Amino acid sequence: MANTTFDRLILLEPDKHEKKMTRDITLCGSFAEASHFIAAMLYPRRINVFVEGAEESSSAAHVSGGDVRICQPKARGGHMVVYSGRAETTERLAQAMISSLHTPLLNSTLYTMEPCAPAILPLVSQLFGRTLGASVNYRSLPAEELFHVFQLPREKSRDLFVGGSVEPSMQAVMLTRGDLSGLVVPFSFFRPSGTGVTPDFTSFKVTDYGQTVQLGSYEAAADAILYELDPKYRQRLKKKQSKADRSFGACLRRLRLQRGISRDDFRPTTEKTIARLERGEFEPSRATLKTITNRLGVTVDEILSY
Amino acid sequence: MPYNLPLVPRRLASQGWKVKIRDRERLEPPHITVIFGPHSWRIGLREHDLMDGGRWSEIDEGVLACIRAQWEVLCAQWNLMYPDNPV
Repeated sequence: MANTTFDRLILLEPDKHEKKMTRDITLCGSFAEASHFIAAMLYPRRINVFVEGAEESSSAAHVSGGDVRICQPKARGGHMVVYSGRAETTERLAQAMISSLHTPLLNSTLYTMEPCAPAILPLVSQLFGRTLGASVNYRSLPAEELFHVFQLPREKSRDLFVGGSVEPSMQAVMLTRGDLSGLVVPFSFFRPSGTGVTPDFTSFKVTDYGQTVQLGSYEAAADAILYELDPKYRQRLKKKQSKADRSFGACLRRLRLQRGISRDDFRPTTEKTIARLERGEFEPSRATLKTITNRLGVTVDEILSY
Repeated sequence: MPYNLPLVPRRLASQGWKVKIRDRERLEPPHITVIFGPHSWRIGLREHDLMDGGRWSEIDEGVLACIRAQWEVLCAQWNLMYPDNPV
């Protein structure tokens, strides 16, 4: 979990389904004070905390089952996400705040699956650096897909969308990426397709594990949105593409063309096999590799340098 | 409305495999997108290649068979949805 999207994920009152969905998170580390703080605040008289994979020496290792599930990696500190699957849980958290002194957890996000009462919002906003999902307009990925995205490496999750809302007054869709950063997409991005389908901004949701934004019967690819609106995404793609060009197939093609050798000149390896190798459709066998290196008079390492 | 390639056998769809052309795709060479969970592969309709790298073996052979069998339909569908950028 060292390289996952968040440093710590806390589930408030998870049901069986939510526990099951997070069972694969690999956890270790000691009990973090911030996590304990939330549990203590929410359950002032009955602290019953379950820390997944806590070390024996942890202060919470002896507690099992309970109202709060804490999934924490090795690192202390960092970004913490508190997940609340139900509006009542979020409201109880807010009520607990009223009666207890607290220190705001600035480097944290409260992610709620159900909107909470408008009166509650300012309260939870005081405790958490950021609150997502609390407004009635917000639409999140289904919980199962959401946890899946949360468990991906940050490099992958940031290119997926976990939720968002449509803001007609701003003529924009506010999307939340898998690393919980935001992206504003103007309505004008969603151009009608050639078949005449137009987006319906009153019917918004995110599907395909964050790879598709759905507006009624209209669908937009997440990578299309990122490609057009995020320069850093484009830079990453360019880097990746140049790396891909250094694949064995691409190098072989460059070297072959430079030497003026046709694909047919690698007998007994067929022309078709060379073409497929160059397209990266499969890895060469040892025998094929030997044929190629013998014909070109170079080593594999030398091929890869082209 | 996106184009969803019907996958046969149906177990492929129930496993979560999808082959789509969405209404708003990246303005690059014509392609289809194979989706499986949070993973996806873009297959170029002109070059028959994996546009973003990866390996063909990562995609279920049944899905690839469906794509091969319906290649012309996929190309026609792309041309319909993106008439300014035909295959």
